[in-house]
Amino acid sequence: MEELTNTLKNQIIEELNLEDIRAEDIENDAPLFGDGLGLDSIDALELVVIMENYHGVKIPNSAIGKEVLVSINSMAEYIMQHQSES
Amino acid sequence: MKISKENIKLFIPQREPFIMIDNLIEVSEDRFVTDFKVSFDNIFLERAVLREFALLENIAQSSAAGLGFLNKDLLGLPDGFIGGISNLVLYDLPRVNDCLHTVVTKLTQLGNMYLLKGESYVADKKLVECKLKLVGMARDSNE
Repeated sequence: MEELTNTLKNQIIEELNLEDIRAEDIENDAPLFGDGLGLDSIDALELVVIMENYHGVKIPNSAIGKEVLVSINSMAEYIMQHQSES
Repeated sequence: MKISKENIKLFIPQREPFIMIDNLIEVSEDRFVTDFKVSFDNIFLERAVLREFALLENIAQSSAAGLGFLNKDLLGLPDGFIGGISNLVLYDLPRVNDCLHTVVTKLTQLGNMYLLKGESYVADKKLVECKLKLVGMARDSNE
């Protein structure tokens, strides 16, 4: 799980060009949007691409997206759950 | 041809003189193709060369036309906005009388938000490519 969360952090930093943020600056349970990492709702698209392209897990609709794209932990848990199902 | 120049305004929110596409040539769920001839009276010309922001507008309008076509059964006028542009690479600029051929590929969709890749060509020469985040009317196709 720790390896996956670190991987996710680095992928988010790279895909969203978060030049001033390091992986260790991101808390696993901190909100990705708003007061946490400070992403905006449109950045969710990049998170969906990370989930699909790097981890083979699809976000089927925006309702699931709102549940999953909350924090690093929630993304990692969804990946682990759905990778084990496939 | 899916939508001709005469009807394109039914599918995009832009109006003259800001319309930067002519025809919507191909549409599928994940790919849209348009063309656009650079006319001598285009407002974004500078010394007979089309400026770079007109190329971005062309990609955005190509995206809007494709999405507008796919969502044509929704009520209301087509509407939307650009949420962001990234990975922009500009190779060259078109000149008067060049015919742009623009290909938009849908990378992902979340609700009414789209991540799209746009590429514009003159003949086989690529002029520009970028990723575009677009927010607009849509069904959540996977719901």
